[in-house]
Amino acid sequence: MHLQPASSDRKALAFIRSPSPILPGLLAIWLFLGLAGLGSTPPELHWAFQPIGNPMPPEVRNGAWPRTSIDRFILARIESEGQLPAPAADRRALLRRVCFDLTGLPPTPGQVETFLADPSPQAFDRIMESLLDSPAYGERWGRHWLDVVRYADTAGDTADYPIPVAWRYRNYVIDAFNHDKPYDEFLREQIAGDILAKQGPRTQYAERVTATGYLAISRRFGFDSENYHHLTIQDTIDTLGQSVLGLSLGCARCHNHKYDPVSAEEYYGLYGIFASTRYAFPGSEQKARVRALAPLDPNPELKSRWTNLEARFAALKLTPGAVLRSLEDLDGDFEIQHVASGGSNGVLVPPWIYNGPISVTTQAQSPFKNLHLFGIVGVSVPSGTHTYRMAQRIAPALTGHTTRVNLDFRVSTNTPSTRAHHRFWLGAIPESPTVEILISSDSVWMKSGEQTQRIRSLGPGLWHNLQLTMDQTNGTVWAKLASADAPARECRLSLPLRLESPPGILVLEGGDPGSETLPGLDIDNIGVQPSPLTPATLSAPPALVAGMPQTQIPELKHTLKQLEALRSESHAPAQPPPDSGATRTEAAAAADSLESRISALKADIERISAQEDLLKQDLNAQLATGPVDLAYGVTEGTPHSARLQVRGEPDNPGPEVPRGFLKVLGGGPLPAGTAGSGRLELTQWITSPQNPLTARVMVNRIWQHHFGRGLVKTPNDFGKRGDPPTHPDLLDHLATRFIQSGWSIKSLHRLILRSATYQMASSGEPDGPVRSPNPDLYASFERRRLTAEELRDSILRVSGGLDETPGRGHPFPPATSWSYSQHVPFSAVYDHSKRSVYLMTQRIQRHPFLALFDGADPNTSTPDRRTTTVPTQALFFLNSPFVHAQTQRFANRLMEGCTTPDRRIELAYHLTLARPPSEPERTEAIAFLRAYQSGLPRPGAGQPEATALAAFTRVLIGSNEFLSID
Amino acid sequence: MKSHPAYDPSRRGFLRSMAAGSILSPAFLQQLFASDTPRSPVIDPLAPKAPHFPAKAKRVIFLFMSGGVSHVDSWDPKPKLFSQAGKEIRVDEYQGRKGDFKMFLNRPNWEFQPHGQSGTEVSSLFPHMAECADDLCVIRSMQSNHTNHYEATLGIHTGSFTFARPSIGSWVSYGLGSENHNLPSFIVIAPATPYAGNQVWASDFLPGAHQGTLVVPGAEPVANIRRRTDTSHLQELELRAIRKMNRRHLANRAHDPLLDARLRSFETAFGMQAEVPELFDLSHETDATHRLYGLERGSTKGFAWQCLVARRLAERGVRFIELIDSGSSNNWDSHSDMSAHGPLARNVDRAVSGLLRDLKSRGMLEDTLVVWTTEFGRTPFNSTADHKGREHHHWVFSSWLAGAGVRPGTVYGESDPYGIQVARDPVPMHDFHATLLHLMGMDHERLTYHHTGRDYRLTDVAGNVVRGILA
Repeated sequence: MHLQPASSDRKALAFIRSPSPILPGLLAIWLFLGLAGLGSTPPELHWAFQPIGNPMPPEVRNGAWPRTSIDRFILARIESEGQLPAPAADRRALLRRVCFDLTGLPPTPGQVETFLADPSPQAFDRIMESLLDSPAYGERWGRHWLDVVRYADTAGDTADYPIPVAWRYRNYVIDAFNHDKPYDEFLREQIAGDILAKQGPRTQYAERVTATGYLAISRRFGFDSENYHHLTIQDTIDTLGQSVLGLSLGCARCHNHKYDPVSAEEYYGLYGIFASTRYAFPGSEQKARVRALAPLDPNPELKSRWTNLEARFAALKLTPGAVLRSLEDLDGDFEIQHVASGGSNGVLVPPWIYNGPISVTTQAQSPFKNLHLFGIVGVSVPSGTHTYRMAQRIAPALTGHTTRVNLDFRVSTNTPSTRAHHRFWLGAIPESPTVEILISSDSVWMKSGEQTQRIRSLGPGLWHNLQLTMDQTNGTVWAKLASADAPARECRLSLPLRLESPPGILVLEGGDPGSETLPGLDIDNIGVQPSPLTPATLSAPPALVAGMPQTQIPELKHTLKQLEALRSESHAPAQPPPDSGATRTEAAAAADSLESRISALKADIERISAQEDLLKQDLNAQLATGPVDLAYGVTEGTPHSARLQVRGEPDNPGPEVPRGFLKVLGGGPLPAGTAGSGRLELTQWITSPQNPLTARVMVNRIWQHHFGRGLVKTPNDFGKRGDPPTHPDLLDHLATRFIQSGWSIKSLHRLILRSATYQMASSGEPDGPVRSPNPDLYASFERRRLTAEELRDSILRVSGGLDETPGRGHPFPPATSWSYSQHVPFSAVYDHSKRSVYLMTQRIQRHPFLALFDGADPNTSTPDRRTTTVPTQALFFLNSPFVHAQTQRFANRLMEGCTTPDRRIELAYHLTLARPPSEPERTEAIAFLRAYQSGLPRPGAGQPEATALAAFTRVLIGSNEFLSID
Repeated sequence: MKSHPAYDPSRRGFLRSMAAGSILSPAFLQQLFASDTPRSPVIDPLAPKAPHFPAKAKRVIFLFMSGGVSHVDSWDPKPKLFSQAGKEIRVDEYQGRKGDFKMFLNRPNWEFQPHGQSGTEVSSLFPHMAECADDLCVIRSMQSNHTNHYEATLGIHTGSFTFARPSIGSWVSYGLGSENHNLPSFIVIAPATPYAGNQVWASDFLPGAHQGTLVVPGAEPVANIRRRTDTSHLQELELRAIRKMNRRHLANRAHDPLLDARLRSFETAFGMQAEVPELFDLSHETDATHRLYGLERGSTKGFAWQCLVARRLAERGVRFIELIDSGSSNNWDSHSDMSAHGPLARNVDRAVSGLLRDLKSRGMLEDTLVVWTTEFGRTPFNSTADHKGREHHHWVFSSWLAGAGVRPGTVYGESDPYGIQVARDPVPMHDFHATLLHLMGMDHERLTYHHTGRDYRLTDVAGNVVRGILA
């Protein structure tokens, strides 16, 4: 349930207000640009919006140079400028380049040896294929995508709540690259994986649901992030535009895009699609608890597991502070509203919206257990209230033809007789009840269409269970009403039902201005579901509780106490008759038996307590993760069109805009009768081969990561404000090949890596010809610095400290202990020796190492990494605990692996630089080790050799040669 | 290592000229550069740059009080809050919620007195700062855009209340570069993490060199600054070997400015290792100086230490120095009881006045801009007549400026008789920032950075220089 103030039900839910816009500056600039842009004539079609062509590779003079089609495009340009391409890179340089390029790790000495020993023309292909096949490939290339989609393990709200299951999406991305998942499918799954999952096959269910993490990781704002959901949707659209389409769509939020053909209507057409989508909620300062995570198994398979979990809590009489809700996420039992669960008494938090004097109290806990076994609170409307209303949209949207509704309620005992009544109603659209339940101080009625009938009279203070079955096919609604004094006795009533689509909104309200005040009402356990309801009952179903270890401890302890009392009594008159040997023996035997019973009982208590502790641990773990695996993803919400927000202000709604996709990219409004949010249709537009941007943008990114710069040097902006391509024909050629290959990213790697362009030497042999300084010519290979991840991973690799197993979740504190706020936000750095892509990344607190070496900005899409050089980086090499620990480890590795200093130096060079030392280097290294050893304050103490060797490896790791790739 | 020479104003020109190298351990550096060839030009993001127009201020000391200092208890005298305390009023917004709220005026805890020749009224909350009234330009019409700490703290630092953007310190560093290459151009001294975390001093899309370097009072104030080898000699061996490798590598690769820049960064790092600890070594500061700041000798605690270190950073040419007095908790956020302002004020009051006097006596107030501010004020009213605390209040609050280019001994702007709204000359956030940049010689509309298709500014598309503040 997401609150969309600008949506169609604005009038009905007028009290749901987002706070006033909080970005006046940004709004102002857009407004300003919008005004400036008014009256400008429609531009001729910008290159990026024209269809992708399939140009022939041009003719070149040096026909011997090209190896793949790419080379002809590159060489033609070089030749046209009267330049020459650089010679081929030497084999060691090429190997090191391709290893880092594909895996982010240096070549092993074994790889170097194999490659150098294989003179055949297939040698390069062999190493390339083995690198593409290694899991390290996905860990490097997945990271590129994670940069673009601004992946983080926290939510970005003011308290930066952790998202313990975000890692599943991260690993999904890595796996997708490793399996060469076709790029169009990759996009479809990320945008509409939850919908695709339901279409089967069952084996892909979990993976596809996980993929929607792409949308769910959208940034959250404020200390009550659901109040700023319009900003989260904006962030989704911005990132979708930048990552997939290479367009900054954000400008169109406030006005028609000044530079690119995107209108504000189209922006809100997209907005409606995401407003019709339900995002997992990570928790926030205001509402500490996680909600609406996406189960990795289909809902029907889960119901029993959720019910069992509740049964276990009920049986153990535990108070779950943070039960995750993911199944029928209405919060109809109001438990997340409880103060202990992060709620705020008297203020209903989403999914509920409300006004009027209501409170969340233990007094309103229903005794019925047919819907929820466990609970401590419900909602109370005090007697004498004039008006109130609480409501929510029903999401995920119901499908099917039968809807079941559950409501537990009671009217207060001390209520004076009044004609005013409470209305509980459901309808497809706001202010249009289909079925109404009217509750007065003494009776309950049902109303459907124009007919109203009394169901029965009410006993004051008595809890009642109402169940409705709305059968669309038969056009009938049945009501069953049971009371807590006789749950098995039901009153039934049926009325004709006219309902075209399942109910989309659920409201409880009362009072009209001027009317009498309302009777007091307690309500609890509201349920709306397609599956049948359990009949009213006050006890938990025995089948569920059976097999649960009952809490025997109190009884056992009681028995123990009695036995111990008995023992002290038998000890008290500790003088058995002196002449009665037999009695003494009997007494001794009795005492022995008592002792053994006591010790057996103690052992029992200990054992059962231990079992209970384990159980509690298990339950606590399930509180954090649920009884099923969950992903931070999205699901379908209530489909609706959004209203345009004038100047981007949610409080200033314009006309409603039909959902749809950008016309300039082949889109339009959603087809009439589209059932869901429209995300599935959106993916079809986005991945259509006719879409001029999707393929171009991705091939440009792949090119960029191979060569350090894109053919379009603004990889997130293919619009008019971006740079035009340096080689437009090559870009189209690559895009066409990409689509023809079935959107295979690995095929594109092969095409690029085999090219003479990729295999050129890097710029600047000392005595070579002066080459064009224009890197856009690709007349030589551009040297680059290792990224933050490559640097850390390489140091770990060479030291022997790299744990190459994939990472999973992070050691966040248990969810039950969370109470992060803007005063005490979540903040942690978790270290491990796995690859850096698995480091926990916070959205608003940058990881100290990744920030130091220009890692991605987890706040916003990072199209390319910067390379800054600052002295604090040098300090890291000189003094950081990490470098010192790893070089010590490296030294030990060298000591163990080789017996002589000479061999150690050689191995160190091979590991770090993929080459043997030159003679002068060898001599210098020996001299360094000697000087260092003798410079140690107490030569002979400790391990001077290893200490000197560690210093030597610091020199290698600190060298530019290690840090840069030719 | 020889310790840094004591401050001498005439040395500052020299410090400025040493951008290309280090003055430390000249013998060692000569050795490093013995066979150096003339270097190729290097793209140096911290190279000193000329301002847009001449300005007095060469650097900023930005004093940030975290949590929201009550304006009506400090810089903004409201006699009616004393005489009409308990009076019922109506407001249409309270704690971020719109509505019609019945509220009661609450009496300030501290009395006001006129101070100095200017007669600026300051409360007894800040008795020492009050004595400097003739040096201050108190702004009583500051406005923020948000009622939450996080957003308001982000806003006063970056001009943006929701999205992370470059900090004002990063913008100043970007605009003017650094005068001392052994030290970062933007240094933040904070004992605890503030609201919105390190976004407060992040460079965001500006080059990383302009990011604020965090100094946390304690054993290792700057990350990785402590040499880990047993002796300096051993580290020199390492550095010499790295230098040799890198020079050989560079020689085989013609001119590559990035390789060259990295080579030099080791030398600067080596310099920092010496300069930074020396910077925090206050043993050569006189007893009189310690007294001036209210600092106990040997202590690294409290705002007094932060202020004295700030003066030393200013002397060494650091462009933007920010001191944060507390963090995101245990701060000025006195919801339940205003008396909590007392100890927080005692932590900063004498220290700040000591800093102002010290700068003045050394002639440094001439070219240093000192800014004192907080993220918002506190409500002059509350839900009950006898409520002891005050809530967040962003409609109006108070800050002050002092030093280079600022009109001293004045008050700018005015709030209404209860201190609820601005009555005259509002200073919204972008105007505040535009004025600070102006005082540094920069036109806020020309200080731009191209990013994601547009030219970004600290002041977005707004901002007017507040002329009434200028000397």
